[in-house]
Parts: sequence; C-alpha cells; structure tokens
Amino acid sequence: MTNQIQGLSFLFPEAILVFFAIGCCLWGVFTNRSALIGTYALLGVAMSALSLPASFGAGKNLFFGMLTNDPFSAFFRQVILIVAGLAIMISLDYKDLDRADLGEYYFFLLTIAVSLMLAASANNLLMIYISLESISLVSYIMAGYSKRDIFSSEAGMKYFLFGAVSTGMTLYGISLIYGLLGTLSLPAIVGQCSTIMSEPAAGLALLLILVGFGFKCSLVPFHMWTPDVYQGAPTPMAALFSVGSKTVGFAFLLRVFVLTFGKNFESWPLLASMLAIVTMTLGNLTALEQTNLKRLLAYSTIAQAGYIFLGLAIATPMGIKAFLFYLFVYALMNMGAFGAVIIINNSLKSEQLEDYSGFYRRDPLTAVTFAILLLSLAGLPPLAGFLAKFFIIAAAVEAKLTVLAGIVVINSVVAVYYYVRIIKFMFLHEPSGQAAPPGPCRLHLHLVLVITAAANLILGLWPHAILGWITNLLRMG
Amino acid sequence: MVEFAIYSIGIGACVFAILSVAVRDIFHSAVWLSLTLLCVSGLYFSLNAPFLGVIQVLVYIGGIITLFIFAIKLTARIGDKTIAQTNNQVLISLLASVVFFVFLLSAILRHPWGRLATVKELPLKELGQSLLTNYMLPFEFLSLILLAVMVGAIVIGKVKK
Repeated sequence: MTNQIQGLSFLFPEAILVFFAIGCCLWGVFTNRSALIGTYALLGVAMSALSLPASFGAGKNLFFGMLTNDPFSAFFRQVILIVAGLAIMISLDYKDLDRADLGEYYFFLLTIAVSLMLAASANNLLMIYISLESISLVSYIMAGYSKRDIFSSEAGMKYFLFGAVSTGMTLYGISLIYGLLGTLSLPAIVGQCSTIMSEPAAGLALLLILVGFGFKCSLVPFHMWTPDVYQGAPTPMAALFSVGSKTVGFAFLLRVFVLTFGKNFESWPLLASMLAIVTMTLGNLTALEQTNLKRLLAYSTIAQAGYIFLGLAIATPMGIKAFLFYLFVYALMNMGAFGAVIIINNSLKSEQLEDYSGFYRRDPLTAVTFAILLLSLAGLPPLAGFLAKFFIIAAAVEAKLTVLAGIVVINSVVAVYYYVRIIKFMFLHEPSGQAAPPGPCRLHLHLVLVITAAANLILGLWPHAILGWITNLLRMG
Repeated sequence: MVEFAIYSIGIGACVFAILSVAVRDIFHSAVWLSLTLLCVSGLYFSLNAPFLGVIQVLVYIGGIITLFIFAIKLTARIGDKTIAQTNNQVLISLLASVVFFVFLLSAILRHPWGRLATVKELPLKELGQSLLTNYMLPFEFLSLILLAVMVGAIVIGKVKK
C-alpha cells in the first residue's frame, strides 16, 4: 500500500489541475467574462507549478509501474506547466473565442494539460496509449471549437480523421508488442526485447508505434494535418498543439525508442535521422511559399520538429542534452510567436503576410519582440535558438555524423529567408491602405511576448542556468 | 475446432467491416457495423474471455449501435443515398492498402506465435481486482477522459442562440 500513497503525492499537481478544470466548467455556467475564468485557470496552473517540486520526492515506480518519476518526467512536466500557463495567458486576450462556452474552453485547456503531464511520466505502453488518446480526443474538440468558422470545423474534422487512423496504428503496434513479449511495461520490455528484435514482427510493431508518435510531433510523412489544423483552430490552441502535443510526442519517442528499445533497435539512428532530415527540409521548403502567417508558422514548427528529432536520432548523452535544451527553447519561441500572431490578428483581422506591412509603426513593442522571436526561430546569434541549433550540430559532429551537421546548417540558412521576410514586411514596408488605429493594449499578450523574447535573449547569452539544470537532471537518472 | 471458429469469425468480421464502409445507405452501414461487432464478441468468446464478449454485446450492440440508429433516424437528410463512398483516389488507396496488408501478413506469419498461445480463462474476481490494483490509474484516468468527451459532445452539439 505504501506504493499507492507515494503515488498520490506524486499526482498532487495533476489533481490540482483537475480540480481547477472542473471549477472552470462549473463557473462557466454563471459568468462569461473571459478575464475571470481565465485568471482562475491561470491560478490553477500556478498552484500546480508550486506543488510540483514536492512531487519529485515520491518513489520511482508509481501506481504499479504505470508512471515513473525520473528526470525526464520532471523536465517534461515543468515544460508542460510553463506552456499551459502561457497558453492561458494568450487565450485571455484572444478576441475570437466564443463567449458562451468560455468555461468549457478553459476546462478543455486544463484537461489537455493534465493529460500531457500524465503522458510525460507514463512508463507503460497502456498508459502511453491512454494518455495519447486522451490528448487527441480533447484536441479534436478544441480544433473545431469555433463552430461558426468553417475553417475551424474543417480543422477539427481533419485532425480527427488523421488522428484516429494514426492512433489506431499505434494501438495495433502496441498489441503486437504485447503478443511478442506478453508485457506492456517498459522496464520489463527493456530486459526482454533483445530476444525479439530480429523478428520482422517486432520491427513492424515499432514502425506502427512510430506512426502515432510521429503524428503528434508532425514529423514528415505524418505531417499533412498540421497546416490546416493550425490555420483553422483557435490560435491559442494551435500554439498549445504545436508545443504541448509535440513535447509529449517527443517524450514518448524518447522513452520508447531511445530508452527502451534503443540499444537493440539497430536501425534506429539511420531511420530517425532520415525522418529528421526529410522533416526539416520539407518543412523549410514549403514554408518558403506561405503567405498566411499561421500556415507559415505551421510549416516552421514542422521544420523545428526535424531539428529536435535529430537530437533523438543521435541519441548520445550530448544529443539528448541538445534535444532537451532545444525543446525548452522551442516551447518559449513558439508560444511567443503565436501570441504575436494573435495581437496582430486582433488589430488587423488578418493573418496574411502583406497586411503586416508597416506594423512597426502601429505597435513597436509587438513588432520588436516578434522580430526577436523570429530571429531566434531562425537560429541567429546571440539568441537561444542559435545555441539550440548549435548544440544539435555539436552533438552531430561529436557523434561523427558531419553530413547531418551540414544538412542542419543548410536548412537553417534556407529558413532565415522566410523568417526575415516577415520582419522585412513589418519594419521596412509602408503600411498598406488606410492606417488603422493601433489596437488597444493587451496586457497579457504583451506580457507573454516580453517574457518569451526576454527569455530567448537571456538564454542565448547565459544558457548555463538551463544547461546546468538539464545536466543535473540527467546525472540524477 | 477453436481455430476454425476463430478464423471463420475473424474473416466474417473483416467482410462485415468492409461492407459497413462500402455501402451507400448509412443505415445499412450501421447494421453491418453491428454484425462486425458481434463477430468481435464471438472472437472474445472463442478466446476464453466470455465476460468481455458479453460486455461487447451489451455495450456496443445494445448501446452504441442503438444510439447510431437513433441518431440516423432523428437527423434529417442524413439517410440520403447520394453520398459517394469513394473519390478519384480509390485505386491508389486500394493499391497502398493491399501492399501494406501483404507486408503485415508476411511479417506476422514469419513469427512463431505459439509461445503465449495458451489462453486461460481469467476469473472475474481477478479481473475486478486488477482494475483496482495494477490498472487503477488508467481506469481512473479514463473517467476524466469520459467527462471531457461528454462535455465536448455537448459543446459541439449545442445549438447556438
């Protein structure tokens, strides 16, 4: 029974989130003021974050091995809480939310956060599948949330169809693994998997599992849904999908493919680096011709997923470290960038690139912070995005994979073009048409932009804090 | 004997599943789907899991298919027979599925699955106990998912004022 009681203290942050989620749902019946419910949800995330450090003291294998309390779980849970907090802040000032269903909106947001956190510590294929399915189900609802918007309905439908097929494939793969080994627990699989790895059925099962995880990370060729869903879904949700779901997708990839099957899965480095290269190249090349900002960011997140995935493909300690650092920086960059799209959409009612002309004159603060985030996404020094790419390249060189390093460099150069093009429109072009009055100051959105831009600058100049933290975590495990 | 039953029920399930997506009338689809689910419950019975088989019949055929049929009958125009089931990509998808199927089959047939083939019937008591011990967390987590999905169904289905 001690096992159970320890497990409960581990789940305290999640329990707080569930409590606040249901509170949001109930409160939505009585009020439709976004500020009230949103602030309440934000309070829930803050309290959950405060209780998080205490939960690290719980035992290692919890709930009969369903969850694990390892350094990776600690890292991912913290990233997820930061992302959830930022997502609520940018939702607070998002104008296109349906007033009638606000309580439900924040309920879903917190439910996704709970599912993501449980997914981050899942240590059993059953738990992994259930949390994957739970994230997906709530995401489908959120993508189609703006029912009057035909694009949103399309996004919900597409996400559902693609998602159902790919999670179905993952489930099939998991069932094959169960048939081969008779267990779903990852630590048990580590001990036994060397006996089955030569079987074609095992390779097939792993490929099928990869489909569902790759879908969540929008790796090519499982990326087709990404631009349509990001364009149609409410923007804060697109931000959450692009960071939260991807974080968990990568957590699964790390846990199942690197930590569990890693040593015995000989074709993993080749397979994963091929996928990573295709993903970053296709994402970057397609992003070049986009004129809708949300679609452009969608392709940019595909490209970024490629860089992050490369860290897992290399899978040396240095590669894992680079992978975690990139994921952290990516979360900050992308949440900020989507926040900037919301500000600009609030005042211009457009997501088209040419309508961004002369935005600097209208709202200098947003323009400057957005520019910093874009430059960081492009990977220019002295920003954190540069260091993140640098570590990935360094890990590739250290593992004697110089070809991979070269491909990352070429891709980064291509990517600079489309990121800088947005900056050029904002700063150098004359405003088109009559100059609309500057949008009202959006406290939360501007705060998110300033926080994320400042974090990118600070992490770029003094990365030691985060790097030391990651190194410490890895040493503990 | 058991093997024969499993194979014939399995083939039946596949045929009915294909029919349920291939027919044009959505009501007929629901009927074929119910037959597919019945075959799945037959698989549970022949694999020594009678409890799951009964639950399958009760929940899926008794509950969900009935709900489907109600939804079809209550929704105007959904029974229209003019909805096409295929588009111009049908041939290439068929080709892809067949290739994938052959690939699956060849990988699966090459493995000697005998190792875990002895399936004993699990007493109901043990099943219940495992839901409150080993599988407690997934079991409880599912209730949160069900709540979220229910709220989601209401949000999506609600008529706007």
